Amino acid sequence: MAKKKRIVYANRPWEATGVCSGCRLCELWCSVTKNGGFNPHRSRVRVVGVGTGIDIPVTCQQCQDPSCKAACEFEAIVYNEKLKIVEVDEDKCTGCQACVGACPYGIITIDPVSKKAIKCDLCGGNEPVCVAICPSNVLAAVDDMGAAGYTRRRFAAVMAFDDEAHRYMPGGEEPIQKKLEKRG
Amino acid sequence: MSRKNSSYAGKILRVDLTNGSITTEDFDSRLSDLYIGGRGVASKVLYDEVPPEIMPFDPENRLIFSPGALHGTGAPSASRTTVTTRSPLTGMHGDGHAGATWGGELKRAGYDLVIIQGKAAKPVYLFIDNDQVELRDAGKLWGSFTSQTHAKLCQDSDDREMCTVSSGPAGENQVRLAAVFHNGADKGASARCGLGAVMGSKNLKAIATQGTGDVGVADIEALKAAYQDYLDTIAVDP
Repeated sequence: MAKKKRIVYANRPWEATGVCSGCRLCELWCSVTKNGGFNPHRSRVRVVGVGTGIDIPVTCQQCQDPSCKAACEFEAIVYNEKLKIVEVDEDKCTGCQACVGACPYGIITIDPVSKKAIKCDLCGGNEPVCVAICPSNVLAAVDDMGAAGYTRRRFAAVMAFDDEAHRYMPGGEEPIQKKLEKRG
Repeated sequence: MSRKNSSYAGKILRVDLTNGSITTEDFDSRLSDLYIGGRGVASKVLYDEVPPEIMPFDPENRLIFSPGALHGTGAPSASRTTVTTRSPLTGMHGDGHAGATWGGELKRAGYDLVIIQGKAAKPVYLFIDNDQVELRDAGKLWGSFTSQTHAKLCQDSDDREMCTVSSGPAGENQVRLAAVFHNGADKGASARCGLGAVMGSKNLKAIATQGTGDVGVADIEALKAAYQDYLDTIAVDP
C-alpha cells in the first residue's frame, strides 16, 4: 500500500547551500509542467521572501483533515484514493476563495488565468518536478514519519525562542551581564 | 497569437509621453531572428529611431526597456533586462542591465519591449496590467527613493507582487550617474550611462507592471536537458 506523501522544505541549515536560495526555479517548473508556460503566479509551490537574503518555499501540507475541504461549499475539494491527498475538482470549483481564506498555510490559491483554486497534487503521482529541479535540494517528498521529523524540529525551534528570550530578562544570564559590564 | 511555444510575448509597447498615446506593435520575428532580444533588439531600435542630432535630454530621445529572450523561463545567466538610451554621460549609445523580476513580469503582461519617447508635462508613471496600460499621476511619488516608490506602488497590487522599474531623486534631477532600479534599489540596478537621468528628463517616475500570462518555450524537455548540461559543466570546473 503506497504511503501518503507531502512535499516539505527539507532545509539543512548547518550546510552553506542547505537553505533555500530564493531562485524560484520550483515555481517556474511547477507552472510550466502544469500549464505549458512559465508563470510563478500560477505555481502550486510559493517562495516567500521574508527578509533580505531569506527565502522560504511554502508547500501544501496535504493535511489529514483539510481546512480547504471543510470550507468548500461546492464539494469541489475531493479525496484522491490513490495519492491519499485532496484535490480540486475544476468542474465544481466556482473560484469563491473560501478555501484560500481557510488554509492555515496560505498555500491553496486562485489561478489568475482559470480563476479556480489550485493546489499541489504531487504531480499526479509522478516524481515531483519542484523536488527534481531544486538546485539546493531543499525540497523533498516525504511520508508521514519524514514530515513529523520536520514538524517536531520546527515546534522545538519555537520553544527555543522562549529559552533565548528569557536570557535577556532582568537577572538573566551572561549576555545581559556582559553587556552591563561593558557599559561600566 | 500563441505565446506558449515561444518565450517571446509577441508585442512591443510604445508610449509617447508628450501626447499620452499608448500603442502596441507586433514584435517582428525578423527583429528576434537577427538581434535575438534584450540588448540586441533595443540597440537596433535606438539606431533606427534616434539620429545623431537628437541629444540625450531631448524629448525625442528613446528610453527602451527590453528583457532578454529567455527571461521568465529561469534559464541560468539569461534572466536579465536591458535599459537602453542615448546616454547623457557618454553622448553615445548607452545601456545597463539588471536582474530582478520586472522584465519577466513585463513578458507575462504580454510585452517584449517598452519604448518611451517624448516628455510628460508633469511627473507620471506607467501602469501596466496585462492589456490595461495607462499613464498615472506620479506627483505623490516624485522625490521618493526607488525602494519607497516600489513599496508604494506595490500597495496597488493584489496577491500578485507588483514589479517596478524606477529612478530616484538623482534621476529626477538629471544627474548623469543616475540609475534605473528594478523593484527598488536593493534588488536590481541598471546603473551605467545615466539611464535614470533620461527617465527623469522625461518626467517618468516609474513603470509598474503585473501580468498573468505564461512565458512559453518551444521545447520544454530540451530546455531542461540544456539546464542540466549547464549545471554539469559548471560542476566539473567552476
